Amino acid sequence: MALLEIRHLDITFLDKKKPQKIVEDLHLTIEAGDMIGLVGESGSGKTMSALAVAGLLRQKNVQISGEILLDGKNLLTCSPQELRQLQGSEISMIFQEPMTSLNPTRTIGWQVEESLRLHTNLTPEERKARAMEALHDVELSDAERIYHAYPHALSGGQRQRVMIAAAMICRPKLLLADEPTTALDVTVQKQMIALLQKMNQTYGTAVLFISHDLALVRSLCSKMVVLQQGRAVEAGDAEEIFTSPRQLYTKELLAAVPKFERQPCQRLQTDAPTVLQVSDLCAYYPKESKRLFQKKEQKEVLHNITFSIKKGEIIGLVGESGCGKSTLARSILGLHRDYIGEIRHCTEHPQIVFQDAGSSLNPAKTVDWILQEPLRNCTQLTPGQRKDCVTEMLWLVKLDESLRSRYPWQLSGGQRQRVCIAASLMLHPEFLIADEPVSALDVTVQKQILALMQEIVRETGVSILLISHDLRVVYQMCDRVLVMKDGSIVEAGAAEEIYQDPQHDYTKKLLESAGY
Amino acid sequence: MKYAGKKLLSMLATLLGVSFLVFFAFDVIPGDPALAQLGTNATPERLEALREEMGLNAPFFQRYFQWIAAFFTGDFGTSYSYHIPVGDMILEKLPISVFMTLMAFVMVLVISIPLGILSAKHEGGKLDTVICTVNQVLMSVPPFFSGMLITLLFGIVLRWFTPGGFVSLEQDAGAFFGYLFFPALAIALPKAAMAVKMLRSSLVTELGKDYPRTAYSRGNTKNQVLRNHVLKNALIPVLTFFGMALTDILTGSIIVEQVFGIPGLGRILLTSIMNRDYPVVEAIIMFMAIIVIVVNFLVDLLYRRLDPQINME
Amino acid sequence: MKRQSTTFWIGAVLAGMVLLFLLVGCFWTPYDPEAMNASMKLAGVSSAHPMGCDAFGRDVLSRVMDGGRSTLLVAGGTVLLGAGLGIVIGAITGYFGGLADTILMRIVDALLAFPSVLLALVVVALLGTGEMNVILSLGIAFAPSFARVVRGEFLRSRYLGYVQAARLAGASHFRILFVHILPNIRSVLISALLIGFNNAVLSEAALSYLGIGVQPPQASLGSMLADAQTYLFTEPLLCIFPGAVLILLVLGFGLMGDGLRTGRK
Repeated sequence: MALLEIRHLDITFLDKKKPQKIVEDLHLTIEAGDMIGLVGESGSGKTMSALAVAGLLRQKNVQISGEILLDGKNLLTCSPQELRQLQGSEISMIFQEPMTSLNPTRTIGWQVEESLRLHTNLTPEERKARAMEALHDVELSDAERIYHAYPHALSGGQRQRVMIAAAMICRPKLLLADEPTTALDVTVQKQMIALLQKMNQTYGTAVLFISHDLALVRSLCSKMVVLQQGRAVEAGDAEEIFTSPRQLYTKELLAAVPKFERQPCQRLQTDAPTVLQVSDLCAYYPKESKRLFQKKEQKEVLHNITFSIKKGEIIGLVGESGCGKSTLARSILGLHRDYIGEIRHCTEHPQIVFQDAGSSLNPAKTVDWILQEPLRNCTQLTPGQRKDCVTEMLWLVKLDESLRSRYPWQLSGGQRQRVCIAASLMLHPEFLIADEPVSALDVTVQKQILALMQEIVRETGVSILLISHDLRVVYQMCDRVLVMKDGSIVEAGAAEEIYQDPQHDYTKKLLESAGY
Repeated sequence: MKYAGKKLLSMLATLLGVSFLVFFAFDVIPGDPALAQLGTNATPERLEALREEMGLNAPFFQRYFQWIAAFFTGDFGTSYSYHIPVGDMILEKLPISVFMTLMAFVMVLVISIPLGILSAKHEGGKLDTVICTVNQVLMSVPPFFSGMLITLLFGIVLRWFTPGGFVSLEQDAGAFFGYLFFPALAIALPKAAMAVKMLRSSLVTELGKDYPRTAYSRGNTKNQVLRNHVLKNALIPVLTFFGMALTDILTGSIIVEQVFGIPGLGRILLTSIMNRDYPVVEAIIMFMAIIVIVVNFLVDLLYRRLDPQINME
Repeated sequence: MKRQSTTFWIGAVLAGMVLLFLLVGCFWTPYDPEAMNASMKLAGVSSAHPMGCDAFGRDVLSRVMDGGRSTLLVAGGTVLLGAGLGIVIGAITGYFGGLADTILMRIVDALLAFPSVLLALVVVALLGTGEMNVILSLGIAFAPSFARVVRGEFLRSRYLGYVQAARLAGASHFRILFVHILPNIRSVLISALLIGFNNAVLSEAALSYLGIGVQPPQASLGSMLADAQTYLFTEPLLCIFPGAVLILLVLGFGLMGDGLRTGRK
């Protein structure tokens, strides 16, 4: 008998005016000790399926039908008491956001031990011993300190390790992992995957690994199921699906995944004019003063940054979170003024495209108003001329005319990012900064936006400083690459050279984690 | 401890600012305290002599520092109308206001915490709707009107207490607290309603976060999630409200004393305002401001104990 | 935009009815609210006097309508003054930060240390009683809490993407404050205004109950309640009508504010 069998699973949300079917007729079998991948884009129902298995969807406004059998016991029909006995002991779950999934006002030790407290009769001393063991198991050094610490004192990677320790402490038969690595840096991502593999091999815990990242699932799982809008479109051997997909959607999905591929170096004109020159830039942030009457100290967050961008070039800026990428962008834009060194550019109004298109568009204004705003402030154009400019720009970013009277919240994620790109181009800047412009988007939309950016560079000759954590995106898009670590540029050069022959250890580590 | 020291300093600074505002405000108002004391038919010579004696001719800052120094030594000046030390007047009445405030505050806590939890637990259900509706109505009743209704119901119809029959603490402690129960209830009801609403919405917000989901995934019941996970987090934002409620109750007692005919601090404050007896008004206002500031300070410290995240920096 | 919740509409209907009733009172009352009639002293409810008569034989219905008007006037004036001051201070301190923020917020903190009724009492003690002084004192007392709310919103908005985008689009600070940010915090502002209005109504009633608000013989809901308290034993109905109008008004606005806030989530 299989460990977990899902049959004819339907999940319907009743809270809207008409019921919404989130998952339709899902079948899935997991044998003990298996690692199965559940793949799909946002809204495909992958998280909801996992929540249903974990018994976390027993709410009034959710209707679930079908069968979820764990060791032959139907989790959908068993009593709440029976379900709770299984939760945390037989099935456990880890979530995408380790930051918010831990209780901020309880110590790590308390939270790791919780399942033991609920499901066993161990004494407090025994529980603590088990918790320490679990913390060591997930390779947390300094376990004693972490045991007494609160979640906010830990890094993202450490928190996810704690989540895994807490989930594994009762040695469950099934671990549901919902995008456990998405919120983490690439180097940490890789460690986390290794950790899940270790748990699977050491304790024989079956893992249902949910992800939007096909390559990741391929490297980890033996089998995978591809979901599209609540329906399983393809299921089977992971390697087989990856190499020879049968369904159109799977093919599209695979094609959209950024790979280490690029057109051979198109245009690296050395005689093009320089549009941005940054020399010896050091930026500072004020430090919180520890003592009452201490003088305010400053912390240097950028050290001697020097680089330049030529007209029509796309430069990639790569680094992990907290390395100073955003501070660099803000300094160039003039939003952060506490720096020494020189930033020279010939554009009066440098522009940026943010990662989160949703928050960078004013929610109270229409697309038309937003796009006209730069013209209203910085040019003398008449309202009629402004309208024409907007029409032209909508055409350039391939948005339909009918969208101009919409509000941002009425648009899809991809459309919003197009509006952001359009807004940044309204004043015809010489260069713009794109700060993780596609990392919040699904892969298929991601592909379209990246293609659009390349097209815009070709057509308008604008230069782009592309900030990204995704080495594949940077490889595809950029002529030159800057690698940043702890506020310094550790390596810079043509994309081909850096990827083929990285010099700095950090670059090597990054490329290795990304699976280059 | 460093934090407490920092907060203590900032509290003292606020106190100094408040005292300055109070002194300044009462200094610039038209009206001559000497004139007020002697009456309009006093001779200019006597007036001038009294002004000199009262120190009214000294420069502003000198008078301010004298006043504040005297304040710290417990000398709050002399009442114009009763010619007795203000300190004695206040000390005599202080216990009444303090006991009433504390009783009302305890009522707010006792009523609001269980009801808030109950309401959040059944969010969207019938019980929740009933609690929320009653809340909304209670919040709309001004305390002096709820005081009148309570007098009407418990005093006149049910005869559980005698309206206006206040007994002092020295005469009969039991009767004293028995009488204060109803005015305390009148102040507490609207505040308790507000507290239920705040706590409920804070709990509901916390329940919607990610970490209760983690707790459920480990097999916690809803009660366990509420008690062990959510309550502490939800109380943090409500703490500020409880602090404010305590000080609001203190000032609200001025009005409710009037409804129930209780001779407390509020009574003296009002008659002093009517009689333009400024030393008394100044002293009572300073007293209340000090209580408010000290309560805020304590809330800040408590806040820090509850929320490990602030402790970090 | 989005549809408002039913709570909001129940509140709006309730508040609208009371407002209409009081608005009529501005132009027409069945009797002269200040005319005494010894023969009608403490007369009960009748068809000629639907709410009865008070101790001086004045028609309670007329006095409720007239007194409600002055309550509205004071509450409206208070909110206008308090919110006006509060929005300007809050917007500037929240958006620009820096030294102005530190200094102004210290003052606001010091003022917040005085509960609003206490502050109003101080001002009345200084300036004397009367409608204008009550507006002034309550307005000053309410400004800090408005400033707090508005400052918080601007502080939060300051770091949002769209504000940064507006700066890069060349918008001036003034334009960002009032064209970009203000429309986005309007629902917060409106519910703050509604709560402020309610507090003003309740505080005005409290002050005139204490006899330091509107002065007799002019009617006010608070002073009517104070008068009615004397006859609580014999004529309990006398306090019910002005009290009910007060409660319905506050309840209506309270529900509206509540509906707005839950609708926003």
